[in-house]
Amino acid sequence: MGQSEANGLNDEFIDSLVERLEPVRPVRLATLCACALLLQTVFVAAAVAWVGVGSAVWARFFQLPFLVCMSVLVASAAASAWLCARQSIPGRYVGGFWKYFLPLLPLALSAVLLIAAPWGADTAQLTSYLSQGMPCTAMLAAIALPAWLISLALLRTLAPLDTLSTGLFASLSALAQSAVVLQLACSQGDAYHLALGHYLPITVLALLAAGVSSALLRGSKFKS
Amino acid sequence: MSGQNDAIDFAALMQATQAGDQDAYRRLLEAVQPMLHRYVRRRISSPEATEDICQDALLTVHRVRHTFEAGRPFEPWFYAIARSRLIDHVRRAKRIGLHEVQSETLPETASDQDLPGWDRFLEVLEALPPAQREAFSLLKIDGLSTAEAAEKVGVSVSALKVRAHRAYKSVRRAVLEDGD
Repeated sequence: MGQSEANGLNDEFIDSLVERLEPVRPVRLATLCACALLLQTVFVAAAVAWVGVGSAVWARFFQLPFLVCMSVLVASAAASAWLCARQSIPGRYVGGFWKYFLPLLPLALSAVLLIAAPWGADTAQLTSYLSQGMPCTAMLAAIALPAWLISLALLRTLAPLDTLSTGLFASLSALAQSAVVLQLACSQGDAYHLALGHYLPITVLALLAAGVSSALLRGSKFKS
Repeated sequence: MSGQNDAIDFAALMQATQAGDQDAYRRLLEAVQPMLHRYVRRRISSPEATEDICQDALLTVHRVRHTFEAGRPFEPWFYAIARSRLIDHVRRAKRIGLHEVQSETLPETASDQDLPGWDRFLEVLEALPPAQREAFSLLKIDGLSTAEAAEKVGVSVSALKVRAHRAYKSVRRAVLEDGD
């Protein structure tokens, strides 16, 4: 009786694994993150080229509130991509702080915008936006869709242990990238419009997409 | 990790495994297997379930070996996989719960009974461990796909394949012995 058999597994099982061994290319978290950032940059650039830049946006480009909003969105996208890559490598853990902080960041941004209203706040514009069927929110979801699907396809080749939070971060990353594109394309600066049409949906849609992402990741290489 | 495992550089063996070194892989599997067994056995009382989880965990290690990062310790990577497989198993067991009715006797079909050696085949099948017998019956007698059978049993597809593979081997061995 071999050592394996003594512990409950037979030698044939070990043999079958050894026989099937083929060289693999090991992943590196740093490389993964660099690739994710590169993909994000390419994606945002392509989407901006497709939807264009709003005429009024040029005037806001070097204003502090605009730069703060853009920085928060870019940082959210990059941090979420880093976290979902990290979550997909066994033995790498993400602290509970990030799991709450990142999804809540767009909400905080919405709240700050509603309070500060750097470009004004008009409820009439909000009513008009809602009556039009929230086109910016629909665009946010549409632009995020390909980035979300690509990131899930990549994550499926890794080993996501916690599929729900990995899915949440993947969704957040895609939606934050989409919000960057939208921020450049949409000329409206109304605080209600930005808060309720651009930023709040990031959290709402990310939470909704997390469940779907989790289901898709469950069929990954790791979970099959 | 303690005792003789202190001298084993798991990370180095894993890196060699990633490069395709079969000897290193065998050494690694033989070294981690008792650790894994102890880890699972401390948390699961059933020896059969322990065996399934260990096999499942080692199959997962095989599938996701590319996710081990050079320069990182092996143990957190390995135990994260083992823990995840353990949790998956517990969840599945809870989900199935008392709804599962294990069939201890095989369904009979009139045509099969007339086949020569059928009684001997049934004897061999009855002698198999229940989990292996169930996997074999579902796949080869009921004609379910591996996915359907895995769903019905409440284990992963890979675990079901392992059970069925072991059942085939046992049946084949018995048939060959009879032939001699």
